Amino acid sequence: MNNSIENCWATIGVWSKGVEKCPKLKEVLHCRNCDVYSSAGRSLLKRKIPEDYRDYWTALLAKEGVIKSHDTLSIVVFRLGDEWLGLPAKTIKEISEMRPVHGIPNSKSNVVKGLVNVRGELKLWVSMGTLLSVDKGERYVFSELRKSFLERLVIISKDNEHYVFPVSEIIGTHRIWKDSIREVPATAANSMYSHLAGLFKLEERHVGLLDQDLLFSSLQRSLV
Amino acid sequence: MLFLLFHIGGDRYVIDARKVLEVVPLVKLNNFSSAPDYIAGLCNYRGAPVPSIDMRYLIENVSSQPFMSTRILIVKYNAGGEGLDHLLGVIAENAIETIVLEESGFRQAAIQSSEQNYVSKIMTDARGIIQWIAVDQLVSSRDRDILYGSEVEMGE
Repeated sequence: MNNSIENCWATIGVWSKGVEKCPKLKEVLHCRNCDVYSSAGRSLLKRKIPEDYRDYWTALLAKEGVIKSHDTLSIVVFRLGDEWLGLPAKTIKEISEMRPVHGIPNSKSNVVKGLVNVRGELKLWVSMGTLLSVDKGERYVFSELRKSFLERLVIISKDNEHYVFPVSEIIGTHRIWKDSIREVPATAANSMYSHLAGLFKLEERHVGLLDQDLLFSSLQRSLV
Repeated sequence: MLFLLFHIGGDRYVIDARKVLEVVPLVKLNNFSSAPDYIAGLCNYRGAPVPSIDMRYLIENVSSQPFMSTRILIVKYNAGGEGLDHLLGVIAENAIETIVLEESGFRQAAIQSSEQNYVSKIMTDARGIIQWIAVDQLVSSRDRDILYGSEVEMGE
C-alpha cells in the first residue's frame, strides 16, 4: 500500500476549481463513489494510535456494559393545540389530510362534531380538544397557510369502534423505551392528565401518552 | 456470507462475521506471563479478562503495529465438544472492511499443519488469495488449558 496520498479529488475531481476533469467521473459521478477516494480515506487510519485515545478506550472497554431493557413501544406523536400527545401505533388506523366535516342536526354532544367521509365510509368526527379540555393553543402560532399545511386527521380504531379527530401536527412514529415512561403526577387533575398512561420526553418535548382504553370508553360515553 | 477482512503483510485474511461479537480499538493489554508468545496479553473486556492473540505474531513472528487500523476483534471461541463459548481477542492489522464472499468459493487448504491448522479454507480472486481463519482452531489444544483452564479447576 503506498503511503503518499495523492489528492486527485481536489485537482481533477469534483472539488477541483479548474476545468480538468478526471475520466473516472463519468463512471462514478462523484468522487465519494470512487475507490481511489475511499482507499485514501481508509489510509488515514494507518497512523499511530494517540496514547490518550488508547487510554480512553481501555477504560471504556473495561467498564461493565449497560444492559438496557429491550421493551419498547411504538408511539405516534401528535400535537393538539399546545399539548404533545402520543397514542400506541397499533390503535391508529390511518392518518390522512383534512376533510370537510358534515354536521349532525340536533346533536347534543359537544365532543361529537359531525360525520366525515373516509374512503366512502362515514365516521364520527370527535374533538379531542374538547374531550381532554386542551386549549386551542397560543404557544404554537403559525400563519393560516402553515397551519393548514400541518393539520392532519387521525383515524383510531379499537374493537370495531372508529373515531376520527383532527390534530394540529404529527411528528411521526417513535420507538420509546418502556422504562423511560414516567408516571403522571398525582396532583395533576385536569381532564387531559386523567386520560394519560404516562409521560415521556421526546427530544425537547414532553409528551403525554394517552391511555387508549380510557380514551375509547370516554369517547363512547360522550356519544350519549 | 459476510466476513471481516484484515491484512497481514500483503495477504488477505477473513473471519466469519458471525463469530465476531465486537470490533474494538487496540486497547492496552495486561501481561499474561505464562501464556504462549502469540498471546499478546489479556484484554479487559467489560470486566472479563479476554486472552488476545496477535495474528501478525502468529503468522509472521512480528508484533502488530499500534495503528488506528489495528483492531481487536472480540470473537466467540469454541473448542468444540463441551459447547461453552469462550471469548477470544484477535488482534488484526488493517481490520477496516467487511466483505461478502460465497462460501462455496472456498476450497480446503491443501497444506494442513498438524499443530495449528487455523487456515482451514482458501479462495482465489482477481487480487490473489484470501485465507479463511477458523477461529475455533486458533488456539492449539495444548494452549487451551493455559488460557481458559479446565472448567473443573475454575470451579474448585
